[in-house]
Amino acid sequence: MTTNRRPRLLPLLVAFAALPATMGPGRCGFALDYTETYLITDEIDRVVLAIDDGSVISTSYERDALLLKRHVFAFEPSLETAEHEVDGRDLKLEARCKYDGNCSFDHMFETPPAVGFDITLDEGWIDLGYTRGDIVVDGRSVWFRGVQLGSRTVEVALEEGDVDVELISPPALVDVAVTTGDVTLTVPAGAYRCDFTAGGAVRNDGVTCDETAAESLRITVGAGTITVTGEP
Amino acid sequence: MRALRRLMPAALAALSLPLLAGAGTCGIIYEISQRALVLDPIVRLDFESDSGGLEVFAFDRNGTVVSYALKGFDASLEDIGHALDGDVLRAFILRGGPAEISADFYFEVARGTELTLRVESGPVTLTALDAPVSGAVNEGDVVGVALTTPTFDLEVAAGDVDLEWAAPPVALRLEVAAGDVTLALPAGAYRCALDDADGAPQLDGVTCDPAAAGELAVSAPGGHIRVQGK
Repeated sequence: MTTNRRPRLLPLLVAFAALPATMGPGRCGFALDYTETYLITDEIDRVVLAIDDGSVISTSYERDALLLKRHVFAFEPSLETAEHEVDGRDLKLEARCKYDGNCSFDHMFETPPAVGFDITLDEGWIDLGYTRGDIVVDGRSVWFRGVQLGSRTVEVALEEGDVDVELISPPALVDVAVTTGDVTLTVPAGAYRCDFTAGGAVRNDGVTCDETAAESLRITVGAGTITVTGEP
Repeated sequence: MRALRRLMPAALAALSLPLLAGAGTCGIIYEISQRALVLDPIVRLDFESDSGGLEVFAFDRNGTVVSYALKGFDASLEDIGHALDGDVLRAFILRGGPAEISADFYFEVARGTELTLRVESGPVTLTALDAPVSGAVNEGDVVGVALTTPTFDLEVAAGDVDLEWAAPPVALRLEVAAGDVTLALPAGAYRCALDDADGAPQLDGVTCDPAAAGELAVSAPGGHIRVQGK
């Protein structure tokens, strides 16, 4: 009887012992799932984010303080850091995960209208709306959308992902570089210095390309298309 | 056999648990809150609720905040959420069963956003709205503060209505089957069609003039109407 029971239990024990391996590293223990909301009353010119995986959504309008809401999901052993600090006139946020895919950090902002963004994101999406501040985005697998932006400078560099930017005032510089993905840009109609290079189709409707223009649109796409529209 | 007989009461109790708890009460219980930001410009918010309150605050902002606190049984929740349909934002909680499920929604909208609403049960609070409002409330009090909406058209089956306008409405139409109506309006003349339970609406600081520009059509057969001019 005893000799029979051990072989029967053996597969169960093996399966149990293998559980951590099947779950992947960093997944044992507690799962953290929490939201923080802060009102930042310091004068802020720029939000600087460095995140592994997650999202950023922001709107801007006349207001006196910056609202920050961050939702963190992470397996506790995998969470490296999820912090923020005010450094001069920068609001700096960092959220890191020890193991890929075990954490996500979702950010929501409501900012005064001139606040800019400098975002480094490994994987996720970014929606920025209505800001007049400058925007710099550096991402690996990221979808970026800009809604009714008044920014003078928009610089986006992605390995993969689509870029959809709508500017409601003429920018000094739009510089978008995407290895794989489609780029859609809407700007006020007019003359710009154009530099459009794509593996796929390039469409331009309403933008006059003029080497002597003050404003510059530079878009480089490896595999993908470029669509530029000048809105009257 | 004896063991089976001993287990019988426990088995019966376990089987009858769903009946004791009520239909639709098995499974997940929600007590959560959500807050989302919609960046796309919208012209109208269409709100539909089978259970729970509504609060809308309009001010000079960009984007729309959609926030709700949900509590109740998952088995009775058909759907909850929001969706963009062109420049119309739909938000909803739909009941799919008999057990308790409700969500209190809160919106921050940009000025100029219209509102249509259907609220089955729950209070409604509207602050500083400045675009047309229309809809129906089955059960629940309605409060409006600092409104400047040109047109306001609401049916309320049961509930008190207390509205304050910061600018004269062009057309204010209310049908309140059971409940009192209290209005605070800029003093002046309105085209009045007022009908309440005792046929004697109380007017103070507001005069009725068929030639006036603004329309005031309020029916409250199960309550009293009081209009204050300020």
